[in-house]
Amino acid sequence: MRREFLSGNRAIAEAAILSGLKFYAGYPITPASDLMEYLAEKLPSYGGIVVQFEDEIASINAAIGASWAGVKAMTATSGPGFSLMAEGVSLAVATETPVVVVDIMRAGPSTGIPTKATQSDVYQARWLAHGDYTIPVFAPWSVQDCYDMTIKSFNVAEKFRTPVVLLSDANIAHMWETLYVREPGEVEIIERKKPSVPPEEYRPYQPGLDLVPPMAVFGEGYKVIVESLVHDELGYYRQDSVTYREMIARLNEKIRRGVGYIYEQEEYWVEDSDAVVVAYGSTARMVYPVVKALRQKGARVGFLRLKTLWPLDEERLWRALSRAGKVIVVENNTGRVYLDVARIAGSARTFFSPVITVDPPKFNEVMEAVARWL
Amino acid sequence: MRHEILIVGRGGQGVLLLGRLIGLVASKYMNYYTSGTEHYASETRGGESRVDMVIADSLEEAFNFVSVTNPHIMILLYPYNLDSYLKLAQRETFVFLDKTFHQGEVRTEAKLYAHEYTRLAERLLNNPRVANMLLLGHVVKVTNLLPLDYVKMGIAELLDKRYHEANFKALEAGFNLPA
Repeated sequence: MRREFLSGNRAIAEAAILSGLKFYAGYPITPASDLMEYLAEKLPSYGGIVVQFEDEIASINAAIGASWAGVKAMTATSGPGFSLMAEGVSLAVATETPVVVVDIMRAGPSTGIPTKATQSDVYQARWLAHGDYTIPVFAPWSVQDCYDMTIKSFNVAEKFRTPVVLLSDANIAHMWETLYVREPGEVEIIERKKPSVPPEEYRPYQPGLDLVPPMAVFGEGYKVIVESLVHDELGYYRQDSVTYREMIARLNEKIRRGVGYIYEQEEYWVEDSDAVVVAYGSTARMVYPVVKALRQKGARVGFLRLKTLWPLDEERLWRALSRAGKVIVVENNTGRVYLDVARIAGSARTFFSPVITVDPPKFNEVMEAVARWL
Repeated sequence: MRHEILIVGRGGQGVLLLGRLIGLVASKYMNYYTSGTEHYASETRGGESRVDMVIADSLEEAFNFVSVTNPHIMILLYPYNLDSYLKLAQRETFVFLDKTFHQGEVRTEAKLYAHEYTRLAERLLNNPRVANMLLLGHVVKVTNLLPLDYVKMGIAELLDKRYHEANFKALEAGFNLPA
């Protein structure tokens, strides 16, 4: 482990290299461009390549292709580019392709304000594409968190054969902080499960007990079928309800069953609090000192940070929130994660208190948003 | 210990580089916890650039409030919003102002160090581009924020070799200004 001083985007790039990234495909977009620039300089010396494609549609599809060729692949973008990746993300879901998609949120809709951050794209991360699916979404709040959650994103993508969205924003992307960079061997790096049967017995989409099928890739002597149509265990197109039900159930259930591994929350002073503030990402960064200041004044208030936005471990979240009389959700949007928290919080009264700003939220703004409901 | 440093200037003056250099030296060579938030316009040159830096003994202190509200040091390479930034300065704040771009009077109760840093860089080193390092040399001398040798190590790590000499010289020239 060594100390560095890096930005959120560079931390993601460093962690991706440590995780074994070998193929990065992307198209420049503020505030994600510097991630690709940094990787373009560094990745080749680790045996990987960075390719700038003609757009984000090509980028996501190239990353999917690289994953099927057997390497770890990633792309990064922001709202408008992420919109273009919708169909590709859906393809990765259907074909169960491990791929990491980094979305550095900026203000939208449309071109919005390219250099400024909001949290307006959290539902885009959750439900960008068509189809009935669940994909993991992580929301870092610091440079160290960007680093650690990137490693986690690759591990989850490989373990569950799924696209994963790492949802940062312009504030975190361009914040520079002291960072502990890990050396190879200091952190668990997961590789995808390979077939253990001989090629003639291999069924490309037959799952193991974890509901994840072992993944053969091109060139290893196995039959490889990258099928986007509804398919059976052999990868053959089927148009019947039974196959559809089985496939959709498994795609969602493999993620739901993995929630214990995928889901993380951080609790601060939640145990003895009458009110708990819930936040994530760069907004959480200012909620933390606000809650700390309120406690110093004697308020019995706690703070719960969501590190994983989806899938939520509803029971764990309910256990933490239901003890409090009040739950206050602070987001830099008009209320997205709030809807889930309100549903899960049980008997606690839930309040949504937006801090909508394109600048890093100020202490007084957040204090007002929280104190209003105490 | 928690020090807040505000760095303001025009795009192209090396504001972000100063932030990255101070952050690198503090994080890597002095084991402080450091955070820096960068604000800049989309223009490569000309818009206002700003870095808010926090240097602290502990992660906890560095983690809170990443914006500067009570600066220990202010480095003003260009007088953008000078009056409003000066309002942040306390009596004990060290304020370094490049007078090359500000002829008028400066009213502040803070400890003011106003020199024509860019003009000095031009005159002494024949290179206005290293004014940021010249100013940093002066900051190091006056405030003892970071050891000069460590700053040189940081420059060597951050910049291409062909720029080392010019920046070392500028740093030393600033360090030799009166405290």
